[in-house]
Amino acid sequence: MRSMSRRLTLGYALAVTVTVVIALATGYWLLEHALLGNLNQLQEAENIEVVQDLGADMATMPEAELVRKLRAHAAADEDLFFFQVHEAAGRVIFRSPSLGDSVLPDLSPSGPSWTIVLPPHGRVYVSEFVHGHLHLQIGSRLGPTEQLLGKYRQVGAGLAVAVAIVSLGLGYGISRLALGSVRDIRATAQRISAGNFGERIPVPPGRDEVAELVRLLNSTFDRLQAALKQVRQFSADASHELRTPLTLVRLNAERLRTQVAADPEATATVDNLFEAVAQMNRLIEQLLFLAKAESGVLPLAREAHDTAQFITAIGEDAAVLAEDRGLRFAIERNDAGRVAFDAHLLRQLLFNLISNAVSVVPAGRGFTLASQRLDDRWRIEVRDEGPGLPAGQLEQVFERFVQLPRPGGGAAGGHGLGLAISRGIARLHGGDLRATNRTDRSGLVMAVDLPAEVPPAPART
Amino acid sequence: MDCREPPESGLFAHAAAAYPMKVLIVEDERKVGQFIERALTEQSHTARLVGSCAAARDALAESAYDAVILDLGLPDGDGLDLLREWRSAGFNEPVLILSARDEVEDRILGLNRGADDYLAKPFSLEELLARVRALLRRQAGTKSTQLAHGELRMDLLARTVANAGRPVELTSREFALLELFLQNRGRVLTRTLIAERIWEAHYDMETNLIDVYVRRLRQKLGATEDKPLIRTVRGTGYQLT
Repeated sequence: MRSMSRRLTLGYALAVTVTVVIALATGYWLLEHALLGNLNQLQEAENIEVVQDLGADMATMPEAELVRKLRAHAAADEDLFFFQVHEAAGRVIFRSPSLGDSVLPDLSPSGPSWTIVLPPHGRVYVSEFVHGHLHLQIGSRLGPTEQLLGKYRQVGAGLAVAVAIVSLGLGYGISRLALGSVRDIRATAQRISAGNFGERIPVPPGRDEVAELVRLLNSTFDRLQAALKQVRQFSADASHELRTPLTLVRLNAERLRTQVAADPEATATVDNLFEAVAQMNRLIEQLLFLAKAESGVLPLAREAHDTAQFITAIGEDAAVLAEDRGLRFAIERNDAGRVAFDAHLLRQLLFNLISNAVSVVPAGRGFTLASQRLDDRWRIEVRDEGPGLPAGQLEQVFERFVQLPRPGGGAAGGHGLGLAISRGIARLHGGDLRATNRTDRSGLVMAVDLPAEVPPAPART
Repeated sequence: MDCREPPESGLFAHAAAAYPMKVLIVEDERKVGQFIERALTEQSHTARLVGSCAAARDALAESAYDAVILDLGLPDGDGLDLLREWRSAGFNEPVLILSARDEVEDRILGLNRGADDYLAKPFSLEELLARVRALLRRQAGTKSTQLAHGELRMDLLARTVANAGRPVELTSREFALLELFLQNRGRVLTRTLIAERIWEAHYDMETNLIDVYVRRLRQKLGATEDKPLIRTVRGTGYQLT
C-alpha cells in the first residue's frame, strides 16, 4: 500500500512535470524562431532601404561611389547592423566600420541566412542579398535575442522545478485521497478476517468504483459470515446432541459404580464403561475440532511468546515421558526469539508429536526436540530413533483415521486423528506440519513450520 | 492398579456437607439435572432444578442461592446472556457453567462474563461437586500458605516440601500437582481437571503424562503398593488418601 501511494505520487509528479517541460520547450522553440524570423524581416527591410538609398544602378555604380554611399548608409544604422559587400567571386568591397577587423564569411551555398560566431561581437545572424554581381551581407548581433532566450530558459527551469515540487505535493495529496478509502477498506477487512465477522466496511457515498468494490466485498463477507455461522451452529448442535446422551451414560455409570462397589467384577465392567465414554468423548472432540479447523471457524488466541521458554517447558514434560519409558531425550537446539502463536494449540500439537515419538521409539533409543529460527519461519522438529515410515506413508499419516504403525504391529490407542489435528493446528497458524525420514539413521522427523512474524495483536471480542 | 474402592468413600456416601448450601441448577436436560439435584441433596444441600431462562430468572428473583450451576444451551435463550444479566444486576454468588460446548473460546467467554468455573459435558458428578465446594471455599476465602497431609508438609511461600521431616526435591510441575492434591484432600481429581489446572490443557493430552507425574510423585514421597498415598480411581482420576 505504501509503495502504491509512492507510485501514484511519483507518477503524477512525473506526468505533470514532463508535460510542463514539453510545453516550455515548445514555447522556447517557437520564441527562438519568432525572434530569428523577426531579425530576418528587419534585415530584409534594411536591404530594401539600402537599395533605395543607393539606387537601382547599384551594381553598375563605380566602386568608390558605391563605397561612399554604403559608408554613409552604414553610419546611420551602425548600432543595429553590420554591413559587408563582396563580389560573387569573393573579393570584399566594403565592410562597415562597426565590424572592426572582423570579416563576415561567405556561407551563401548553405542558404540565404546563417548564424556564425564572430569574435569579438559574439554570435551574429547574417543574411545575404544578391544584387547583380554584388552580394550584400547584413548581420545582426544575436546578443539581445540570446539574452532574452537565456532569461526564458532561466525562468522556464525555475518553473519546471517549482512544478515538479508542487506536483509531488499535489500527487501525494491526491494519492492519499484516492487510497484513503482503500486503506479504510483494508483495515476493516483485516479486522473482519481476524474474527470480527459482524463488522462491515462502510460504503462510501456515490456509485464510483470504490463504492462498488465495497459493496461486493460486503456481500462476500455476508455470505462468509452466514457460512461460518452455519458451521458453528452445526458444530454446537452436534456437540450438544452427541454429548448429552454421553453425559447420561456417564452419570448412570457413576451411580451404578457406587451401588456395585462391593462386587469387583461389576466394578471392572462399569470402569470399562467410563473408558468407553471417555474415548467416545475424545472422538467427538477431535472430529468437531477438525471440522472447525478446516472450515476456518476456530479462533486463534495468538499472542507473542518467548519460544525458548515455551520449548523448555515442553522439553521438561517430554523428558519425564521419555524417562518413564526408558528412552533418551534431549533438546537439540533452542533458538531465542518471540513469535505469536496460540500456546494452547501449539502445546497440543507438540504433545501429540512427542506422544507419537514415545510410542514408536524402542527402549534404549531416544528422540529429540529442536527449535530453530529460519529468517521469517520458526521450525520445531521432533526427531525420533524409531523405525521411520515407508516413503508412501509419509503423507498418508496425516489423513483422518490413519494410524501410525507401531513397532510389533500393534495398533495405537487413538483414533488416528491426532496427526490430522496437528497438521490442522499448524495450518491454522499459516504454517505446516510435514513428516520425513531421517537421512542419518532410521527414524522420523516431524517438522512444524510456523511463520515467525509477530503481528500486532488483533482485538479479540 | 487399585480398582477396588472401599464402600465408605463411594461417590454419594460422603459425610453430610459441613456447610449446607442452596444451589440453583439451570439445566434443560431433565435427567442430567435430576442427577445433579439428587447428588446435592444426598449431601444435605438444598437444590432447585429449573429448565429455562425464564424459570431461572423467576427462581433467582424469589429467593437467594449460594451457588448456580448453569447450562448454556437453554430452550429459550443462552445461559451466557442470563449470566451477564445477573452479574450486571449485582448477583455475586459463584456460578459454575456446565456445557456441551467445550471450545477454549466458549470457556474464555464464560469466564469473562462472570462465571467462576466451567465444566464440560460429559462430566463426573464427583468432579462437579468438588468444584462447587471449591467455589464456596474460595468464596469463604480460607487459603492457607501451609498445607499438610499425614507426615507431608508443604510451604507455599518458601515452595518447599518435607516428608516426615526430610525435605523432598520437586520440579515445578510436580510441586503444582502435589499442591493441587493437597488443596483437594480426599477428593477425586479427574484427569480433565488436572490437565486443566497444571497444563492449562482443555483437551485430551493423548499422553499418559499425568500418570507418569503421579508415579514420580509417589516415588519421591516414598509411597508403597499398600500405601500408595495417591490412589488411582480407574476411569476417573486420582485421589490423595
